[in-house]
Amino acid sequence: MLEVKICTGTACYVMGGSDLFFIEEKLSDEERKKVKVEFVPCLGYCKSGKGKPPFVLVNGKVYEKVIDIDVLIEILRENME
Amino acid sequence: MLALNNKVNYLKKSLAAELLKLFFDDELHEKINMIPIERVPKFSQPIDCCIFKDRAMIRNKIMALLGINIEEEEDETKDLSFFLEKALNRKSVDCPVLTVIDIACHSCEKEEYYVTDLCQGCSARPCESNCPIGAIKVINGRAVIDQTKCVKCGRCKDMCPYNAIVYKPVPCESNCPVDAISRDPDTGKAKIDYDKCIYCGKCTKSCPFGAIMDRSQIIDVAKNLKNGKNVIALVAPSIVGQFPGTILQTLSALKKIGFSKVYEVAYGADLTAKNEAEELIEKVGSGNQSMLCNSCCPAWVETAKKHVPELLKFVSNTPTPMAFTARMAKKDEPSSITVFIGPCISKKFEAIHNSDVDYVLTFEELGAFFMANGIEISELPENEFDSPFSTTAGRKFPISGGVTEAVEYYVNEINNDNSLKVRALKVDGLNKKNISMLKRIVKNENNFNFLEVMACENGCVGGPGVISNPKLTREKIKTYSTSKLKNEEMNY
Repeated sequence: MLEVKICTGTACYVMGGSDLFFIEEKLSDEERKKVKVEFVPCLGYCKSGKGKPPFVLVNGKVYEKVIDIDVLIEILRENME
Repeated sequence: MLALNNKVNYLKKSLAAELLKLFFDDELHEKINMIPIERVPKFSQPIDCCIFKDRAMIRNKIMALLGINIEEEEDETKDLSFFLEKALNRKSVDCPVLTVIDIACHSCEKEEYYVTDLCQGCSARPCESNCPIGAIKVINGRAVIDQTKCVKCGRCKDMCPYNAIVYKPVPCESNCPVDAISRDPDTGKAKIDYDKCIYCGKCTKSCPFGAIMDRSQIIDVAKNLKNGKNVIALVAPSIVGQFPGTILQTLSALKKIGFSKVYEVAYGADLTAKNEAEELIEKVGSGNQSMLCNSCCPAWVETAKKHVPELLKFVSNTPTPMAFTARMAKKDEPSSITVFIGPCISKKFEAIHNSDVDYVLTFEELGAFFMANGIEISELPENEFDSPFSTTAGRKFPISGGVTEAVEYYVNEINNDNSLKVRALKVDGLNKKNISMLKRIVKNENNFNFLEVMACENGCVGGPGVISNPKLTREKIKTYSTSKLKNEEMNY
């Protein structure tokens, strides 16, 4: 199971994270079974210098500046295999 | 147009947030001149030709964020702190609302269909035989388009079996619905003709270099908030869904950054719809006029004035939701400073001509205020609007078709004998094609009596200043529109 955490802190949301809300409907039925998506409150990464918002965690790995939902889908697909 | 999220608007939003943070921390004067260098330090990988041009682009984008009219600034020796001073000292904002950043403008070559190296000079030559005006010849084994003849129908591109012909746009020009942008014959830089411009902002959202920006008023608003002035926020109904958490939590965030009160423009939208319904009954119901057009979208009203003057007499004279709400705020508190916050650039133009509205911010710019103040909206308590409650009708105004729905609702309410049926034509977004359609409808026999024109596709939720995908905003507005209704008497 792929655990996806999408930060919904103000900075992540404003800088492009709001577009990631449709992640589940972009996945196929098969893929959806393999992914658990969670929208989480501010992870605090932008303040601790871990990179630039929006942040997404995929199985604990931090991805920064995720402003394109299709890029996130590709990241998920790569991690599914 | 570019995708909603891209590196151009990412840079703009992050620069705005940085400027505001430094401003609120009393460090902007000291640090503003260094921002371009800090953003592009030596040996970094340049985006354009070199780090010096990258720095110049950032410098100019900061000028636009300070609200400077870049075309007007001749003296290149002035540093950013000079422009900051200029911005802080101005008493009010002026036209034009857009500015061209010439240093960022790529001077794109003319829009044309272009034959690439993929052309095989085949025997079938569908490009040549399908060109309706004979503008294509195959010379030395390769198709050549006579650009002086080409009418840009695109048939050659569609017919080529090798996909060898491409359309090469000039993004700002191609996306301008009213051909208000041209290139300076000497420099090739984009130039906006304000006799034609409708302030829709599509150019700002289509240039891949971010070379056209609206002149921001963030510094004007920040100055008043910081000085503890009585600043009232007038928030457009499309704010629902633009920020994390609920709309009522966003109200707390607005209060936290210093706004004294928050008025809901959806309430003004109810007033607009009700008045427009009365006007429709009076003018169209009586048979004096064949139809009525909406007046709430300033980019559409400018279009009617400048490009379809035949339709101007049909445009409603009802004030816009922003105008109604601002009038109410100024009546409640005459010494207050009013700030309209919405998805729209053309509202900046409308506000300059309305003394009840002092400043206009986009949602992107408001987002920069929240980031600069380190506000976590979803952790805040819920708050209430300081204006009367709006209804479903007013709340759905920013979704394409919502204005019609609202006017229809009030027509049926006022006219309970059903003698006037609203038959609407809805134009969802202005583009070159829709504008020629609008020019034609004047001459035709029409079977509609209400014309709703939204300059932006999807309605205001698709405006140039939004943060969220219109699909998300639309869903959230639909949920919000039927919640917490309190039918108060509208007595303003």
